[in-house]
Amino acid sequence: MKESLVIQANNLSKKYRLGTIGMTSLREDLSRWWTRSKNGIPKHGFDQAGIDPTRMINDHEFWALHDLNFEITRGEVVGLIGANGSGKSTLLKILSRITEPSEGKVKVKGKVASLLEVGTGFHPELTGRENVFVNGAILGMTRREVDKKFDEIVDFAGVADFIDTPIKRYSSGMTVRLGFAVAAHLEPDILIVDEVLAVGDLRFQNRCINQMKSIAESGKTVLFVSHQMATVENLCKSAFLLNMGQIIYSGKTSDVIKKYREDMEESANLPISQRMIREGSGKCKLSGIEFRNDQNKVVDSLISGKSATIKLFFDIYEEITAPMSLSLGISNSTHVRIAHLCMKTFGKWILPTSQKSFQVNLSLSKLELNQGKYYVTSFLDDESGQIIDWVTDAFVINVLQSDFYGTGMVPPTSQSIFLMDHSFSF
Amino acid sequence: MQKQSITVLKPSAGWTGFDFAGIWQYRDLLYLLVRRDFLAQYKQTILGPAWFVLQPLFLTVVFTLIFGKFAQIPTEGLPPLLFYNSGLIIWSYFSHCFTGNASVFTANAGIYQKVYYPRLINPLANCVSGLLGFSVQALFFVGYFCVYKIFIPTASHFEMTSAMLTIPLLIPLVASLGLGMGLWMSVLTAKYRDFNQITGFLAQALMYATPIIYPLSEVPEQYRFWASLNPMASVVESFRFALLGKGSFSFHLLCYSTIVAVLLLLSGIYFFKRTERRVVDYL
Ligand SMILES: Nc1ncnc2c1ncn2[C@@H]1O[C@H](COP(=O)(O)OP(=O)(O)O)[C@@H](O)[C@H]1O
Ligand SMILES: [Mg+2]
Repeated sequence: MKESLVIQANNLSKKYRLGTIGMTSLREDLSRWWTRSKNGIPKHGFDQAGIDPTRMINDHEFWALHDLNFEITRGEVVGLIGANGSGKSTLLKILSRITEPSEGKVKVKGKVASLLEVGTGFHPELTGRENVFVNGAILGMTRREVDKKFDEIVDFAGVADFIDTPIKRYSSGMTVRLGFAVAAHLEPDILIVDEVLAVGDLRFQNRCINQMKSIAESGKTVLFVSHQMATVENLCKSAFLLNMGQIIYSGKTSDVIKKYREDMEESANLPISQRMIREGSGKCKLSGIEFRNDQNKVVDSLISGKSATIKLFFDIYEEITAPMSLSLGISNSTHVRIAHLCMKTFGKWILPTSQKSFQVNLSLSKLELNQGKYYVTSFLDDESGQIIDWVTDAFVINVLQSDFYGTGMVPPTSQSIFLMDHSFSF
Repeated sequence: MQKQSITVLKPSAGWTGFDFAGIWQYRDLLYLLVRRDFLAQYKQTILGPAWFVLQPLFLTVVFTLIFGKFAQIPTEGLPPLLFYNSGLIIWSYFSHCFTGNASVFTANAGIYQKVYYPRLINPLANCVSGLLGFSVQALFFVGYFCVYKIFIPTASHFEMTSAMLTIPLLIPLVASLGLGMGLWMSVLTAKYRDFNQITGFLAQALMYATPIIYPLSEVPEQYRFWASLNPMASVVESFRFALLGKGSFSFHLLCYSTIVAVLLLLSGIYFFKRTERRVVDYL
C-alpha cells in the first residue's frame, strides 16, 4: 500500500440475502425444510421487489456491492453519493468492520471511527455525563480521552445545564447534539459519517460541518454520506457515485453531483412501474400518474395559481392486510425538499382492499408553486411503519407560469419557489 | 508521521483467534458497561441496590417456608436459612452469567449494526456485573452466619472449613460454566427466536437438578451418579461445604466440572465468534 493511501479496496463485494432480514423461528425453518424435501425444489418465496435483476446472484441472493476498486488518500474528504439502496451504508459498514465483505478485500490504515447513527448505546435512564462516557467508549475512546475532552463535548452540544439529567428528559434535538458532539471529538485517522446530519437544527448542522472540516484540515480522512447535495458539495472535494452496488463515477464533487442528477433524470423518464430505484416490500406499487387541470382535463403540465388534481394509480401484488398511508415529498429542480404532503396529517388511511389496484386523488385547490420542474417522491407505508413502496423522484410536475397575483408580475424563481397569497397595507 | 497499522478487511475463514488484544483495548468499555448496567438497573427503583441483597433473601425465605417447613426436606442439620442462602448465591451467579448472556445478540442488535467493538465485551461485562452482585451477597451471607453463631449458638453445628481456600477457584469455575452455556444459548437465540423461551425454562430446570433446595446426600443412591453429572452439583456442594462444613467436597467431581466448563467455554467462544461475523446481516 502506498504511503499516501489510507483506504484501498480491491474487488470488494458484498452479498445479501433477499427477504431474510430478521430472525426465523424454528417452526418456519422446519416447515421450509419440509416443503423443500417433499417437493424436491425450493419454494420461490423470495421477494425481489426493488432489486434490479442484474444485481441478482441467484433466486435469493444479490450484490449489495459488486466489485468495487478504489483508493482514498490521506486527508481527503470524500462524499459518497447514490440513490436509496445503492449500497452506501453497506460500504460504510464494511469499512467500519461491522460486517465483512463477501469477496475481495479492503486495506485500511490507522484507527477508524464511524458514526452511522448518533448516540449509539445511549441509555435513557442514565445522565448525559454517564452516557457520554459509555458512548465514547463504544466508539473506541478510553475513559481518559473522554475525560480530557469532556468539557469541550458538553460545550459543543450546548447541554451544560442538563449534563446531570437523565437523557430521557432531553429533547430529541439535545440527544442528537450530545451524540454528535461525542463523535466529533473522536480522534481517529479515518472518520466515517452516514446520513446523520439530517436531524438537528440548521445552526447545529453548520457547527457539525465546520467541525468535520477542521477534522479534515488536521490531516484526517473523512468519508461522508448525505442526501443533502449542498452539504456534500460544501464539504467534500471529491466524491464517488454509487449505483446499484457499483461505483459508476468518481471525481470532483460538482461533476459527480451533476452526473448523479442527470442519471436521476434519465431514470425519471422510465415508466414509473419499471423504475428500479425503489425500496419497500413491493406488495403494492405506484404504477402511474395523471395530471388533471381545473376543467378536469388530462394535461402534461399544471398552471401555477390554478386548481389541479393529481391521480396516483397503484397496483396490488400481494394481499394488503393493514391500512396504508401515502406521503408525497416535493423537491425543487435542485433536489431540495420543499414540501411534504402526507395522508397521516389528516388521519386518512388507505384501507385494505381485495381489488388488484386502487387510486388516490390529490387535490390542490390552488397550486402555490412558481414555474419550474418539481420532483415528487412517493412513499407508501403501512400502519406499523413498514415501507411498501418508496420511489425517489417518481415523477416530475411541470409548472407553467401564470398571472398568479393578477398584476402581470411574478417574482423570479430564483427568489421565490412558492407563490404565497399576500397583500400589503399601510 | 507515525507509522499507522494497516487492517485488512476480507472474508474470514475458520477460526480467527480470541482477539485478546482487541478486548484489552476496549477494557474501559467493559468497565463502563458494567457501571451502566448497575446504574440503569437500580436508578428507577426505590430501594436501589438493596435489591442485590433482598432478591436472594426473599427467595431464601420462600424456600425456607416451602421446602423447609412444609415439605420438610432435610438440610443436613444446618439452619435452613444458611443452607438455602449459600446455595442460592452461588447459583444466582451462575444463572446471571447463563441467562444474562443468552440474548446478547438480540439485545444488542441495534448497537452491533452501528458500531464495531469486540462483541465478547458484552458477555464479559455481564459476568463482571454478576460478580459484583455475588460479592455483596456473599458479604451478607457472612453477616447471617455471624448472627446465627452469636445469637442462636445451639441451633446446630456449622463451621467454615479450610475448603474456603478453594472459593477463589470455584468462582471462575461457576463463571466459565455460566458464560459457556450463555454463549451457546446466545448463538442459538441469534438463529432461532424459540430459544429465548427455552433459556428461562432451562435455567429453572437446572436449578431443581442442582442440590440447592436439597443436599446431594438426600438424593437416592441409584440417582446420585446422574445428579453429579450436572457440573453445577459438585460446585454448589463444595461451596456449601466450604462455608458451612456440611455437604460433600469431591476433588474428582470438581475436576469433572472444570473439564466440562473449559469445553463449554471454548466451544461457546468459538461459536460466538463465528456467529458475530454473520449475525449483523440477519438481525
Ligand atoms: N442486512 C441486510 N440484508 C439484506 N439486504 C440488505 C441488508 N442491509 C441492506 N440491504 C439491502 O442492500 C441494498 C443496499 O443497502 P444500503 O447499503 O443500505 O443502501 P443505501 O445506504 O445506499 O441506501 C438495499 O437494497 C438494501 O435493502
Ligand atoms: Mg443508507
